[in-house]
Amino acid sequence: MNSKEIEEQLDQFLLNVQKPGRYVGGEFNSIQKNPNLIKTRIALAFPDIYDLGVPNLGMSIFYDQLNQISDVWAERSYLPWEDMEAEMRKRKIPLYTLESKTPLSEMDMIGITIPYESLYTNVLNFLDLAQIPVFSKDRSAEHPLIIAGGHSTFNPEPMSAFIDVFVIGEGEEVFSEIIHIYQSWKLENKAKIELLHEISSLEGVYIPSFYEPEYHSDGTLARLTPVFVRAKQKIQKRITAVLPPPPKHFVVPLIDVVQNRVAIEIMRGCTRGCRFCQAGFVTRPVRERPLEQIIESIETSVEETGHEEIALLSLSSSDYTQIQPLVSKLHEIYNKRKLNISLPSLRIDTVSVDILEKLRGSRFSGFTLAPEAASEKIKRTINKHITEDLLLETVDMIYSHGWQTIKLYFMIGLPGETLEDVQAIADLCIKVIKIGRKNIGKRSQLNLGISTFVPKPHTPFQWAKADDPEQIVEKQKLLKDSLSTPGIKITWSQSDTTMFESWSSRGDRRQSAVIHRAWQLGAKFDAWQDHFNKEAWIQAFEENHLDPNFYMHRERGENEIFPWDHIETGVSKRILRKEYELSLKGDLREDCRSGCYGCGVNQSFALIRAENPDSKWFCPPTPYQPEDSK
Amino acid sequence: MNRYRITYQKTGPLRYISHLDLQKIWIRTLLRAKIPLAYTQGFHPVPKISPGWPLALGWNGLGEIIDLWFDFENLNPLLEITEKDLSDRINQNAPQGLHVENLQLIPLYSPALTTITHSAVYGINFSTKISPDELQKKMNVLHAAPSIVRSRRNKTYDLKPLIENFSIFPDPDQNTIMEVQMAARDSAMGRPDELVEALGIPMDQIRFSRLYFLLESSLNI
Ligand code: SF4
Repeated sequence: MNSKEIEEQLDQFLLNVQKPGRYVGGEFNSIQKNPNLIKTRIALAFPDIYDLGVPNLGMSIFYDQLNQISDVWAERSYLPWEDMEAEMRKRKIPLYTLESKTPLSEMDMIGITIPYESLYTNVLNFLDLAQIPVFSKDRSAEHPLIIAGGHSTFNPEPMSAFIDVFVIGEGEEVFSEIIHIYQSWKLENKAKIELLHEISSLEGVYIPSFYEPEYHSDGTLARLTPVFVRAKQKIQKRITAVLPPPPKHFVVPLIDVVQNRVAIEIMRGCTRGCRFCQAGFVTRPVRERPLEQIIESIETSVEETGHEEIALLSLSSSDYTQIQPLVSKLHEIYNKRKLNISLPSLRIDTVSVDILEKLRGSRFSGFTLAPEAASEKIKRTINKHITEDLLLETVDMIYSHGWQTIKLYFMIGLPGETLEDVQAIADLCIKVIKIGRKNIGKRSQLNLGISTFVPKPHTPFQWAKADDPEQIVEKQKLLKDSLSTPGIKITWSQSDTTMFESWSSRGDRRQSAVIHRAWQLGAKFDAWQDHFNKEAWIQAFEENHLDPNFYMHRERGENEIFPWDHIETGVSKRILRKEYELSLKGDLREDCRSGCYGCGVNQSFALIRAENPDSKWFCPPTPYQPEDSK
Repeated sequence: MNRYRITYQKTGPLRYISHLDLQKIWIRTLLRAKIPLAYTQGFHPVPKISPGWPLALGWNGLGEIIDLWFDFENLNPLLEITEKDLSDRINQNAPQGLHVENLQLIPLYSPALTTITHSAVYGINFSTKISPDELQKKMNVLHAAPSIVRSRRNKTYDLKPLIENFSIFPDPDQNTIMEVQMAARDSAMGRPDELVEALGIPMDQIRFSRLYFLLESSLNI
């Protein structure tokens, strides 16, 4: 089917599906190019529906960046919702790009963003709807090259059978390098393996088909061996020494999506060292974006999009060194305009209340804080230690300054957690709502988000077992019973989602077969509450003779080789282990801005730092040390 | 504050965008064009815009109308305020399928758009499913009936008085086209798809467009 036929077909049935505006493109700032002048055609894919994909910042960055290359055309594609999928399958319409309605199978490359594990089956469904073989081994030079990146790919192994090339870490530079190699390869008319060989020489690129795993009899990994001499033993993630300027143009959707806003990253990386937080470890070192660049980018993107909401993103906004000047400046410019500026992940203190007070404009949305833990023991376990006094003082200020709703995030199921620790969460929440009542009476509201902890690769808890489902149920019940008072509302993470996350985030290569089978059995949209198809997954594990508990409920040995060990984030495994041990002892680790503890990031990336003298990192400068001299 | 009546097209991808989403698109487009919309007074000020009758999803609108109030005191001083300049700016900042055809200053306190809308003229493209002659015959039969009782959303009504005028002709590609003028008032809203159904012609491959509106003022001329 060509694009004209696809368009004609769409006109036949689009009115029968929900929100047809998802499937037609035509948005302001979407890019049209003349295909005859294009050398390389790329589809950027988000393997979930349009509504979730459009706000994705990574997609916006690559879309803007790649379309600046004159002989490259990057288009977008999202996964259709089930009603649309059914129509497309019935009529044999291949998945197409929104801009030109070209079938994805005609692209040179498809770059898939996989930020979280619950999109794995969607990736397969996406390829299948595009009429592209899902297994990498079944695709030749005739098929588009399938590239994947995003946070979940810091453990690429579960998806290794489906993806040709993983980009590990920050893709801003790598993507254009891959295109470059692709373009000369295509001219020479060589085999796909040649292309992969060439690409494998790039930093931050992992080609799973170049490696073979071997397992011990107990099921743990013995080694992952390169099958080609030239394939690297270790893949170091890619970083940019200086944050590239934010995207200039954002696609403005025609329909409402989950976040109708412009997102601008103000800082990358985090030095706080919360032990549960994968992002905190894998995005180091901390790099800030200059204040002027942020202001300029807000001004142009507000003008260019007509959005009235801006989100300033980072893992810990309060740590942005220019936060006060930034807020004052924004207050000065946008005070009188109808603009909403959100600044998530502020530290819990009264300064943050001042900051948000300046930014909130006329709208009082809820005030969100994430203490994560309440008992002294668990605060020490996770290395996020906010004293109760400080929290309550902050809460008092929030309620007394006009906010009626506070949202607090806590985690349960952390290593070593007992019912007592969970009770501490309940006790704390009662104190919080009492403060609300004291300030503004019955109007005060406390919304609780209680998530279940899932141990993640590349964090100190990568050795830890996930909590037993029975324990989680009991802990949730305790909270439910203690907090069934007016004014408090609780949302939980779904136990199925937790289970899924815990087996797939630390999965190995054998899980590719499980994912494939689960998808065949109908699993898709696993992140959607009522969609998780547990039976399909259990059957898929069984048929592949794998035990989900092996991945979930097993404390790993100190020296176990992990399936993701060949992926290096720069933070050494030795330090992660040290952190885990400190955690078990209940020892805190200070924010490393006030003292570097040598996590390894500054050594690992010393070279690129040296090459970019204007890079301002928070790590102390160390002379470049080659690996073996450490 | 100035009030403008804007005639525009809603075509292409925008056909699949709802009436409500379209209003948001207008607001964003004007923000991008740096033409300040006037806001309502009150605790929750909202932009003053007043669209004409909604267009059914999937249909082309070739002469849609919307009233917009601009607040020229807050206008970028670099901007010229000619009608041409305003419509150019809007078009440069509009998504694919939204195109201003005409923009006209109207008295601030003239009656609301929907109250003075009288009728709408639709184009129905039957492709080659039926010849013009055949269609004419069917229309004649339909027209001879004393009433055309239809039911929509569990209510019965007479379609006949809503059909005000029609003509049938082939287009250059030999498709059969019917242009039909139908009532478009709050109390009486004619729908061309209902007419096609009343004619007993299957709906697939029939394309509808709303060509233009007839307003009270234009009827007087
Ligand atoms: S190298 Fe030192 S300062 Fe830099 S992130 Fe690691 S511990 Fe922190």
